[in-house]
Amino acid sequence: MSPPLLAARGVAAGYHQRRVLHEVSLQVAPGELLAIVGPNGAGKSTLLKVLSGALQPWGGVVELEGRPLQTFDRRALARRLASLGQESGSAFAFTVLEMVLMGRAPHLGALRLEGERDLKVAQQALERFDLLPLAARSINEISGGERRRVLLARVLAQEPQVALLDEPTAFLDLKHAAEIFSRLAQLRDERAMAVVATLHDLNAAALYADRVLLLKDGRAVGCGRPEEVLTRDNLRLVYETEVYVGRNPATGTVMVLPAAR
Amino acid sequence: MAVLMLGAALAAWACARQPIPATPGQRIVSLAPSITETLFAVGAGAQVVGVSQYCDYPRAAARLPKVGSFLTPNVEAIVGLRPSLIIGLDTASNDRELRALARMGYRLLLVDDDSLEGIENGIGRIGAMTGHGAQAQQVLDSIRARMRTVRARLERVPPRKVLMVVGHDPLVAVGGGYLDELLRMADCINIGAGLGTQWPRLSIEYIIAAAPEVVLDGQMGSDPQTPAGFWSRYPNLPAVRNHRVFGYDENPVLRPGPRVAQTLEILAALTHPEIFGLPARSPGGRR
Amino acid sequence: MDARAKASPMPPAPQRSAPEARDVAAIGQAHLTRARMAEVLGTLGVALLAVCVLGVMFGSVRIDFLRALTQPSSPDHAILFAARMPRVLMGAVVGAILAAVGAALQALVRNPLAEGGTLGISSGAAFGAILALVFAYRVGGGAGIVPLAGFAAALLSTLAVYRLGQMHGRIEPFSLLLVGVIFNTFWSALILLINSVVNLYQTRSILFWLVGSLEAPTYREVAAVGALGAGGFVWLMWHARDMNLLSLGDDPARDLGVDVDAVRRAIFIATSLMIGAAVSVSGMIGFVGLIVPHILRLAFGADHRLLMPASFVAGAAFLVAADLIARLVIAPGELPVGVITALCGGPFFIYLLRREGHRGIAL
Repeated sequence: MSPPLLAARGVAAGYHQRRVLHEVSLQVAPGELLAIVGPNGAGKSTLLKVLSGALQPWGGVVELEGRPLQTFDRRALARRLASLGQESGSAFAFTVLEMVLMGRAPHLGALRLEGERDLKVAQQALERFDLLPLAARSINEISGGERRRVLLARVLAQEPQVALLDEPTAFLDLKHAAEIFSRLAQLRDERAMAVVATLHDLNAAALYADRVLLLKDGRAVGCGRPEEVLTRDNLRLVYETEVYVGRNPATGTVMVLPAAR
Repeated sequence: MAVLMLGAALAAWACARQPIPATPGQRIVSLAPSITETLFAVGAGAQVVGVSQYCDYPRAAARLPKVGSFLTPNVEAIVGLRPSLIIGLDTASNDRELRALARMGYRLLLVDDDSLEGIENGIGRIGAMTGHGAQAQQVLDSIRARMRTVRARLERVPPRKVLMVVGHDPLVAVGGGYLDELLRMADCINIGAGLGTQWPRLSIEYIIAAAPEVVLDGQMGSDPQTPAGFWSRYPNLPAVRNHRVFGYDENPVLRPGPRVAQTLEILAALTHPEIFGLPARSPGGRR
Repeated sequence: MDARAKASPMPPAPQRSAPEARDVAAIGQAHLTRARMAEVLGTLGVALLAVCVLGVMFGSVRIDFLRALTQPSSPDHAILFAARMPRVLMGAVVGAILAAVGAALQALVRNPLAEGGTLGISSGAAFGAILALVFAYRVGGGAGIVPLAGFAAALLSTLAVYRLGQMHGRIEPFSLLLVGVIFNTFWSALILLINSVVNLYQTRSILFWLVGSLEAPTYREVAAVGALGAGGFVWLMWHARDMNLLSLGDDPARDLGVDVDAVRRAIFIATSLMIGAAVSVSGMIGFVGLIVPHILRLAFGADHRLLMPASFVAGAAFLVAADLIARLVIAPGELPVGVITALCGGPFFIYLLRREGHRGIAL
């Protein structure tokens, strides 16, 4: 097993006086897709913010390549770690291509325009998410699902070692959601990029994630391979409802259905 | 700043609350410096019970209760003085207040001070209304005599091109009215005249093109901290080249009252120093 | 997901479609290239030059250029070199400052309606400058204190508007504009308060500040304001790319490597310095910072690496042109240029407000 690329040890965090995370630990290796799942308010997004450095943990430590996150300067960190948040666009009408090229910012000096290689990276990212026909469109004129893909393409153009994705498939229909997961899986394999994603959809987590971290009230209930973590007992405890856990007949992976009437 | 304002407000309030001095006959409120001067000049000074905040001449007038300015007369302060006659200027800016006073039944006299004729009429009417008609006539005679003297000394003197501005920031010039009349009497060609407005805002380009031989700048007179620096930017102006840029004091020059003859003498002296002698250090003569 | 996107078939696998994929660089206006920057800035530069030539050629009086150039003692020479040229140059400098500051403030608050005037920063600067003017005369201080006081008051206004325009840590576009309106009213009231305790001449000067005018500047003033403007502009340019990222929101900008607090501080200080300098010589000339960046954004895109220099150049051209109109309409009298920009800008602001309100400013 390769050494962890990103690791959190005993992280506690919160906002103002309210503690959201208690003693959460995790680690991600290159080429690994870790899904963070759990009910609303379990602390998924907060954990992601701590991992990205946007939120200072109250306790514990986050390390990237074995170095504490705070020791990286902003730009150096942005070259290694990319985040997909819940942003909705811009006050100004940037084009889709400009938006994706913004992912190159941490790689460029203050006054440098994007060069040939930056354009090539952006072009590949656009292709990856079927956005090439939209390249010249304004970011404020496209649909919510398309914008989500643009932001994913930007994460890709950033060429990070770790991508932190907050609900990457929000606003996406079934087909595009599936496409995105398969492409993230490709990237993970091709570039050994580590992906940490918060997910609502337990079945997607089971299908695409290498490992799953299950959170409840800011504490890790389980962390491991999907079939180890997404058990009937764990899910009943975390979601406080009856569930059916079976096998997806098409893929053989874990499948979760609500079972309460 | 706030303390200053508060102090001023308190002082004004205290003044307004002073017991009204008992004066025989009329109780007159004057709403403009020129009117106050006329009242005192015709001998009705003792009947004046209130003046505008800009009234500072003669000195006795400065001590009277203040009732706002001719732009915004303070109706309550005026009524509080129980005037039997209110004398104001015939301008639009105080129209609302004056109409309110008229509705309350106060006797109003409006005078026009835009032209020499208006000023003279005003002096005559104020004299008549206050029972000092004879003195008013004396004032008018004296004005006319002094003006004739100035005119006589300027005979056979070539006219001089003059720019008279109220200030240079912005450049607002004398274009008409009594000052334009006085300039013409002082044998001047007023380059601000004939532009269709009484107070034209001139461009510096126009001024350079018109090449005035004398510049009279009111801003310099009132504010000695502003040196002739502004005009030295344009060294090619004949007035600047020949050191004929003068300040003037708005008191009395901008007071269209019984001191118009003095104003004419000042303007004539500033524009024709070779006849009248070089102007004194403080042009316009502070009191 | 809109219907058109659904209807289009998903290309099979990205690798296989790569050979036929259109080259992104060929998508003309989709991103900023050096060639496009050169083209746009070149065109605007030529336009600025043309407007300046017109501004020098025409004025409230007609002059003989041959005489102006050959006879240094002629009035034509004086009009050209002592009156017209410094004025055109001052128009260019002030216009450049106002437009570039507008573009930077819009990025800072993520709102295309922001500008020194609409946010109440210019009136803050005017208050500071007037206060200094009145008191400098009283205590006999130097003239240098006036722009400095303008800067200090502008910085104070910017910080206050920025803080008060936020609700729960987010900038709310409409509450921001309301705070701007209130600041404008507040500063104007303070200016009128000063106005009521000064003498007649200062009263006139104060009025002149409130409308904004380029009357009778000196080369020294042009040089001083030009130097401050250029310095501030270079500082802002250094953060032009960060402004792009900042317009996405604080969190995305931070995630893309921007030191958000440092950029914000730079914009606060640089724009305040520039507004303070401009206002101290020309008073409050409104709407330039609103009109110019908006039209440029429509024409050339939102990238601040082009928008900022383009605003700088086009703002200069715009104000020189507006001032030319102000000098000509009632010649040989003249209007304050602020009247012309406000006459253009008022309706433009309403149009923008309705447009942005309709679209719901994306934040």
